[in-house]
Amino acid sequence: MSPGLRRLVNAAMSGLTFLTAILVVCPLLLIFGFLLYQGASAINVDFFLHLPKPVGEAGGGVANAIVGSLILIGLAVVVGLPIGILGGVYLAESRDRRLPWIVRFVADVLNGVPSIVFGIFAYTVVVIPMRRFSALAGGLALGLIMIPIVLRTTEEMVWLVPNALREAGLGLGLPRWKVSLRIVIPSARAGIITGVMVAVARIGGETAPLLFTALGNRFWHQGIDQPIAALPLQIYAYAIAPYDDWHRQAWAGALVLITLVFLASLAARLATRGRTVAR
Amino acid sequence: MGDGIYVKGLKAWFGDSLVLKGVDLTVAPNAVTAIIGPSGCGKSTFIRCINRMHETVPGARVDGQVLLNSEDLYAPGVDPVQVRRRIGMVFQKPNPFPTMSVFDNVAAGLRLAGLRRKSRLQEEVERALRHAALWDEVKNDLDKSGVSLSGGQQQRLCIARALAVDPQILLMDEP
Repeated sequence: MSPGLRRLVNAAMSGLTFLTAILVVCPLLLIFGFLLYQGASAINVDFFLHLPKPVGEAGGGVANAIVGSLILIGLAVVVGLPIGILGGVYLAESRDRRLPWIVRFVADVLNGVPSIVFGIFAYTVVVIPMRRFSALAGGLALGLIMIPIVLRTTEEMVWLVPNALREAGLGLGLPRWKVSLRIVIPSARAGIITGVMVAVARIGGETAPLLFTALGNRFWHQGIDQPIAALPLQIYAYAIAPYDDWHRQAWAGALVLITLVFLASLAARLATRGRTVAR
Repeated sequence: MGDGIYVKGLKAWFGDSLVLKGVDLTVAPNAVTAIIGPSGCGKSTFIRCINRMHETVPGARVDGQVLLNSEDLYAPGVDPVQVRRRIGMVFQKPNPFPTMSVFDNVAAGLRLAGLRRKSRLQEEVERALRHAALWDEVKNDLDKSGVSLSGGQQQRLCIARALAVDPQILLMDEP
């Protein structure tokens, strides 16, 4: 290959990779810009502090949906966090080969299951026996979605902790469980937090599993055994309604939701900045 | 203190490969004993057998006897965690706990073994750091991260950490 041709190919490939990199950013910028254009006008203080108004009355907000989403995320974290983190530590620390292989495979399958299926599951095991839609059912569905994400990132992060640290702990005469709990997990903390934030960002926007579990609610939350409002549900309800005012509220809700997800991702990035331990 | 270590017919495997083919050795009590040999000849593996660290490697296996005060460390019913508490170890490469300060690194073994009293901890940490000839260099930086020290200081920190729990024997792998 002549030097001229080589330089040409190099320039072409560099240009191509640059172009695709731009393409990756484009959808996010377009979506964000469009949401700003459509929804910014409906965002004001009332939007964050007030309940939705009945049809025909202008104004009102989605404060109950924001609070509801936070409660649902809290419930999901209670379900998903301990199982995900402890399971991930087991996967990384176990000396057994077969069970971790099976668990890993099942977790990957679980990760690919459509989220509405988790909703059906929560509907079957919580909503039907309780004869009522509830925050509890919604939280369970979201928590189950969290498990495989938290599990796999925790495993990766614990695996990255240098073996020398485990040996240092064992060499001091610490039992294995103490080494895992007091030395390995703290060393992997930043990475585990990222995994949790990624999972929270993911479930914060889930709509399908909430449709027949949390159901939605036009009032403030009334206990976790009652139907509860959630931002994605509110957006869905507003978006399919035939009123212009509601459409505007839906756009604004989407803008708030994407901003929250953005902030969660940003927090995850900042939490891990420059503190990853490499093996 | 004790009556030394007697090693009888020690064999060690990594998976299927036999790396120590029956080692017999007597180590005098209260003395410094050095084991020398070309790299890869099994020095590390040998000393890791003495505090039962070898078996923590997946697929590794040990056969034979290691007697400390005429007690077989490989007898059934002997808890390897207790063995490692009596026989401390300093590793080839410095490996301070990156999430802990200098003080916490040295106190780690004592704390995790259940010592809580602040004044006792401070005494023990100072004693261990003095013995490792590190006290004068770090006495004003006890709250700094253990990994912020230089390589040599980190290794002395690891020695102090091993000394803090007052082991009967200290194994040092080319520190």
